[in-house]
Amino acid sequence: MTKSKTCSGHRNAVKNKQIIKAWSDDLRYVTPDTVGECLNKYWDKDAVFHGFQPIGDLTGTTPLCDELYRPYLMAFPNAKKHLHFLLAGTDNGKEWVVVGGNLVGNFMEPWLGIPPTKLSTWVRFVELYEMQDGKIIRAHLLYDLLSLLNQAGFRFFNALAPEIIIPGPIPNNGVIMGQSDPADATTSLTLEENWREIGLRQLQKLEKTITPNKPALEIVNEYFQKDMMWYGPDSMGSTKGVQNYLSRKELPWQLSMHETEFKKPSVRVAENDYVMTFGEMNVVHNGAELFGLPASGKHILVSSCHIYRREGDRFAEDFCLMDMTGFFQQLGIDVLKRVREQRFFQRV
Amino acid sequence: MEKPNRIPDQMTRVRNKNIAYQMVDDFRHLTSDGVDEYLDRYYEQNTRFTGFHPFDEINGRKAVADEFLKPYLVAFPDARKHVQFLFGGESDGQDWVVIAGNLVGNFSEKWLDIPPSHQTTWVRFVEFLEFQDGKVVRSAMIIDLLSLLRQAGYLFVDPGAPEIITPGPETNDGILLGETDPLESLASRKMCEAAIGRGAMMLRRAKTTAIPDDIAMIIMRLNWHEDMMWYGPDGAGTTKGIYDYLAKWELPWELTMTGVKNGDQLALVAEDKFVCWGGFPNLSAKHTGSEVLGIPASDKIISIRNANIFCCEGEFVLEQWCLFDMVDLLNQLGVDVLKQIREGTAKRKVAVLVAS
Repeated sequence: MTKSKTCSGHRNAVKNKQIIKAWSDDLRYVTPDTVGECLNKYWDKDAVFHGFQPIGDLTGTTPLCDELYRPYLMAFPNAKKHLHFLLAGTDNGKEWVVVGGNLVGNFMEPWLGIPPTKLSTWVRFVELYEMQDGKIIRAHLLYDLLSLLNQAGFRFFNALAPEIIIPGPIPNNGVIMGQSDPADATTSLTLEENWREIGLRQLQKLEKTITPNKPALEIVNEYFQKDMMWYGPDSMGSTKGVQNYLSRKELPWQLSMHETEFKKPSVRVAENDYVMTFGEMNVVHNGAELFGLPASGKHILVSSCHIYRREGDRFAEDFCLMDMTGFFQQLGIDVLKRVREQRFFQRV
Repeated sequence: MEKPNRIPDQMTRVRNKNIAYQMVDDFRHLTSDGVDEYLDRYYEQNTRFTGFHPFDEINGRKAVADEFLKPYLVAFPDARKHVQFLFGGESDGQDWVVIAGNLVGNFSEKWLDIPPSHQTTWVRFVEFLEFQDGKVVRSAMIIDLLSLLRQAGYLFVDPGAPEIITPGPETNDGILLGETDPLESLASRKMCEAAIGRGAMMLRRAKTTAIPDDIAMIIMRLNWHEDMMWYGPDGAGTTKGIYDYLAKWELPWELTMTGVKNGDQLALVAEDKFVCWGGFPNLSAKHTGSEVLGIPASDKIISIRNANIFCCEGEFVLEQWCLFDMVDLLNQLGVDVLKQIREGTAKRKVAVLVAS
């Protein structure tokens, strides 16, 4: 096995986690007027930001405040981050902190052209921060915007499995504030690498059937607990069990989308039983119908993130979040534009 | 700090909680074939089970297995309890443990005449276990059956707030297996007694309108945190913040049910910052409005089985998980949802249209 460059337990890990926890907690107490000041406290003023569609890439805290946080806080004045994950580690010598969970707030004013519901709303998020001297210098943000749209009554696609408000990991121990044993993290990282490099590739090479066949089950069973939970973004949904994961999500996905290039994740962070991988996925939509959409032949580059939880020698949970608004936009469906133009398929 | 020695149950409590945790672990791999052995291991032979509609009361291990647990596990063969709360304590001289969270499983066979969805299903539950000499002598359970029905495609009630798969405490710390500070537990108990007693009484006397006024807000602020999360069952939904709670749930509820009275409780268990209060039933009221359930006022006196878990922060309730036996309540008001499903008259969710 190749030795992983990723490691946890570096000397700034605990300090960095405290900083990101404070930044996450502060979000509850800032207002559209004070958020700029708060950003400058935690972010380098020239920080580089990579967001979900339609926010996209930004540089510097001023555009970040203007494009994302101020409008967001006007729409969700009492938003608070309910955390499920907090992990830190280094990758290629860079210090990273991952935070994930739900942004819970009452949707009071329009945001990104979506009309408010005046109801409590849960927006699942994963944020990945690169730290230097205690400040954020780079960040990747994924929000489940399709879930927000769903909660606001706009539906576009046939989901593969039930779309739910995602709970945290079963043992409730994903927020790791203190130090952790690097040996555990290494075990988790190795399992992730084996699954991605060996298991997933074997699965992709198999002759595919929509009903999971024996070899497919055997491959996945080697890396996952039989009663694994797989939590996807809205449009994909969540499943329990290896069989169900294959038949609801993985096989329909593979039958429709062909991965054109195996990209290694650009960042991996691990602590204890948890591994986070973040990267881009290159697929071409040339197979079977998916989400109710026939093959378009289009090439898609989509940011995706997994947070795996290991239980012994296998993974028990996989929290997957992808930039689905970006994904569907590349397929030719700009969901936010359709909301503005009142061209949606169902208003619940 | 020296531990006060007037609380003798710390050891019993820790032991009971660990047995309950082991039960959760065993349940993960339990199949309908193993139910008898599982019940023998943890339950007293004459154990009494108080359930939700349509189970009501079941006496004895064998009946619990045959009537409830075996058919359930046939329908959800891979069911597992994703536990968000586990804590214990004394209530009226009895030793209780509370377990709550979601029952997660694939709905694979018919249950209670509900056709299976073949999808992963999350069903919220609260379970009370009374232990004597390390065995369960009495238990009570409520599940969110209306949520299961919604996930299977049936809609009965149009709620005022979103119906979601309910998360556990925001701080992810609801599982207490070790010893805890008795003074902290006592403070939480007192605070919740005030909230469900004095607070609720004041709110009812204030005769507030459907739109929250200053008086209602002030009364709520005595016991509740400004950011309070209120996780109601399906049919009620979830709200965030005092205003939202009053506007979307509490005031419409008061207009629907007049003269809500607290009756006999099953138990009030307080440990650390968590309190669980439940009764089967422990609330009664007169049905005088249609705001909440959409059923015209019947003037019937109804009773409500319910379990409420509170999470305190400082002097306030920060989060509350309220679970009613909604199906039982609807039944009392003449809407028999399970019968409607059997007879094919229940309203089903419209299919989602396909984007192109």
